[in-house]
Amino acid sequence: MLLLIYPMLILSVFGILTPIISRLAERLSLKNIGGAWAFFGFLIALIADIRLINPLRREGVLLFTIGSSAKPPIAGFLAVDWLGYFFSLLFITLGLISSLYSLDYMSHDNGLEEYYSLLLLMVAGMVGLAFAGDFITFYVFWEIMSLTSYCLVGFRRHKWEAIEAGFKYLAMSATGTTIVLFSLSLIYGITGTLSFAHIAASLLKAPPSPLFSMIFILLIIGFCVKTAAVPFHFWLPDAHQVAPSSISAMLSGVVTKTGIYALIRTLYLIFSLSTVNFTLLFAVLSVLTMTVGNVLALLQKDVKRLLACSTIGHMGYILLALSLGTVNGLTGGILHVFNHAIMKGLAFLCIGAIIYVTGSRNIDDLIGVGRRMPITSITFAISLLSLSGVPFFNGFISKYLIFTAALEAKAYLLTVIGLLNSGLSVVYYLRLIQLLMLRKPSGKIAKVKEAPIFILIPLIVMAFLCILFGVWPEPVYKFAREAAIAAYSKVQYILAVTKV
Amino acid sequence: MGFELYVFIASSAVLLAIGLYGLMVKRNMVKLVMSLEIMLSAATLNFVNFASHRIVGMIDPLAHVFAIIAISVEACVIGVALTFIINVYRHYKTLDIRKVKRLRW
Repeated sequence: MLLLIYPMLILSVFGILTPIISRLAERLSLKNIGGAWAFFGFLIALIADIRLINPLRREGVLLFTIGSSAKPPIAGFLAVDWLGYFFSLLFITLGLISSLYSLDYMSHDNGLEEYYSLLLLMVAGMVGLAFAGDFITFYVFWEIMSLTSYCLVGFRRHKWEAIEAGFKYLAMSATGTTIVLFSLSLIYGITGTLSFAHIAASLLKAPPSPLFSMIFILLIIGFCVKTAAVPFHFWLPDAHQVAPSSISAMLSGVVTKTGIYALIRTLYLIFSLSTVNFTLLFAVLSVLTMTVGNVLALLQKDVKRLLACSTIGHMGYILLALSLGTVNGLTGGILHVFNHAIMKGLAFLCIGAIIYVTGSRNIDDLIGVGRRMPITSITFAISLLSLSGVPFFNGFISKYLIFTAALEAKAYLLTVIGLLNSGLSVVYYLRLIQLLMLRKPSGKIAKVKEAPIFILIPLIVMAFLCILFGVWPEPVYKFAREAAIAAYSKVQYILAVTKV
Repeated sequence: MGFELYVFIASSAVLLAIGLYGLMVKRNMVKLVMSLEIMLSAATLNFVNFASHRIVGMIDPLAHVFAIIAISVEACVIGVALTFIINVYRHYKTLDIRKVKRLRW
């Protein structure tokens, strides 16, 4: 299936060519060519990704191996099911929006050719890890994504905060990856293979043992660093605070979601409830993550840091959904991944527009700014209402699904804690709306103007999506349901890969 | 499965422990990166060990390939880490990780 490699191939080729194109355009004194080129690349990759939908519908799991003689247990290969496809579509879409937004937002920075190159390669890495069929491919693409995201966090290297946050992120994330690598070596020692399906097949009937628990814990630690589950969340507020806002949107919207994707694969494909009972572990993890994230967000003075802490809270909801071990819970979790990517991405992009105009991130300096920037403030309000879970916005749908699934699974305490947390989070979202949009502007803020057009287009598109999927969630719900069923039915996946 | 298998597993566990210890205790950022490298070599050693000793008389190329890939990929990470360290030195005039904590909460 050659179609499978096109999205990654297009993104990587565009990413590698971006610096050359930008330099050439600079000679001809054309502006923003790098950004337009990146946008074009994302668009083509999105089309290439959408073309996969028909073959996927026919076959269920698509395979790609290098050469016809190479068979899955030997070679590194790609295997795409609905789960990976769902995530890849999300990654490319957010990359597209982020690159469009960067056209104006990043225009004052230098080194833009590297910026777009890194952005394209980061999305290529994410798509690759969503498509990977074995741990070798997964690890390589995971590291491509991680490396480029370190560089993007530290992109404004003339500022001390970017460097500090970047190093913190690198140290924690690289440690997590190394721990994952160590547990992979143990998995290889037990099963003799690194392909997801073959590992799953050989662990299918395995009785619980301390060795499996150890491997499982190591894998979970490694992936939780990326997910920013609570004992490992320290890098996230810093990195989100100092990165350019378009990158914060990417980090919060999709990079943390790669950890969720890896966790879903680990929990539901490689291990299962009978081998390792993860319900209690993940329940505790999710409660910690939700509570700490929301409490931290209440204390923040910096708008971006506040949104970053609320990302930790939302990761808690998704982990709650994963802990249930049911299809309904998984559907809610995957739908929340999608919705959170859109609404948190929108929130970060709006904040970016405000920072672009005013140059400040402090809430006290920004009082009343919304009155001077009507479009930004309306879209920001939509994203915040959506994040707090108001009906008719998309955040409500997925939160509702998660909590009803939790009730179905008889996790009453978890549901109550989740709902309390959701209530707590409304406090800071509404405070933000009240301070930024309802107060009267004064001083410097009274003179600001609306952001430029290329910043506003992505905001309007994403706000429209927030409302659209809030009032008409059916298509994306069906899609998420399909992905959840694909993640849950591991026997079909194993058969599809091993029969080749 | 021979005696060597367990010797190498034990030494890779020791390497992992040394790396984690270094990450927790050391103050110098370069030493942190070195600890990361030690942890990586624990994983790589494990791969090579399992590939050679898992089944007697057979060497699995898959794990060797993965070991080489992991080493080269990790070299890139170390490169990025060192650029960060150089930039940290430019801004803070120190490599002490405990001084590099102006971002709080």
